Amino acid sequence: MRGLIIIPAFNEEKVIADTLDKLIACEGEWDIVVVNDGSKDRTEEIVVGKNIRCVSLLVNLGIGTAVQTGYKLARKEDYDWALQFDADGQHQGDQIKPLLEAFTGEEACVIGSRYLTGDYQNTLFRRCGAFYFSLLLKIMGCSEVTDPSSGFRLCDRRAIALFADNYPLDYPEVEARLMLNRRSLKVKEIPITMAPRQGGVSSINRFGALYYFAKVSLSMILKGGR
Amino acid sequence: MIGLLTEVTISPKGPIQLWTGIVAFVVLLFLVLLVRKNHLKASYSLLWFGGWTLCAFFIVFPPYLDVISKDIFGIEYSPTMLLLMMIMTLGLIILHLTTVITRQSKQINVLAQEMALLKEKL
Repeated sequence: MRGLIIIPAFNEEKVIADTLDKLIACEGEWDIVVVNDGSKDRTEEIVVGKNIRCVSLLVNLGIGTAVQTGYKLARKEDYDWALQFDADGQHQGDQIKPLLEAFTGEEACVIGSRYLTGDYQNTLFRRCGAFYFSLLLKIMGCSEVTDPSSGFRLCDRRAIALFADNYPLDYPEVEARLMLNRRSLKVKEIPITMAPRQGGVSSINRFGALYYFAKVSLSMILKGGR
Repeated sequence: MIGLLTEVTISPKGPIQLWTGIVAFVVLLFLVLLVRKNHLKASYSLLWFGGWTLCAFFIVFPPYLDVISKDIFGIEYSPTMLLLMMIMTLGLIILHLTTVITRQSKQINVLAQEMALLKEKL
């Protein structure tokens, strides 16, 4: 069984080296690919310098397109698993094993949830967001949703094929879940711990939040995961 | 200003119709030129031709505008009908443009992804 870790990165020169070092130290069996989403800084140079595969988009096309590039690579090279991993140091390499162990063969996707353990600190605003999107997903038929926007997820071949063909463009996590559900692909959440962000900026800033809520809600309701 | 507009557009036979007629014709000619020189795709020009011909017709022949406006839609002030037609035409064209942009951005995404994957292989 072969697995590919997909790390989307946009202007992450400050943290990418540290993230990669930690990941390599605790996870030797997985292949790693960094999808450089048109970074203007030294991200690509650092990744290549560490002898890690770097797929570079010429222009910045957004997180959804970057992640999808990884899924396309995973499908093309016939990987059994693909794992999304943040470049900013929030995700931890030692959490990959529990994610893989949670697979029973039935699920198409196992997602690491920050909120299942109950000790993850986050702003009230973000908790409200998580609650809102969990509720929306449940109304639309998804089960056991606690961390709808978690980007720490492991996909099997079915999910890889689905996302390689069709993946939401911006703020893709919540919608991607609905897409899986629509095709009756089972999703499971397991508790994980996440570190606080080491650097870089969240793709969701305060002013973008309203757009985020409106866009994702509208897209989910109108498209229903199509 | 409004009085002037009324007089100008609704007057049944004024020299203004000659001028509006010429302007409408020049615009149509310009559209034809754009298509011929490949500066405008024929498919995209359809909406312009359709919308402009419709509006130009009523500008040049205001009595017909009165019929449509007052008798059919019940709009007392005929130029409103003309403005409504123009706004709807423009709205339709803009909506069409956004669908084109959506399609193109999807295509750009696919091209960029494939290119990045190929480049990494080399």
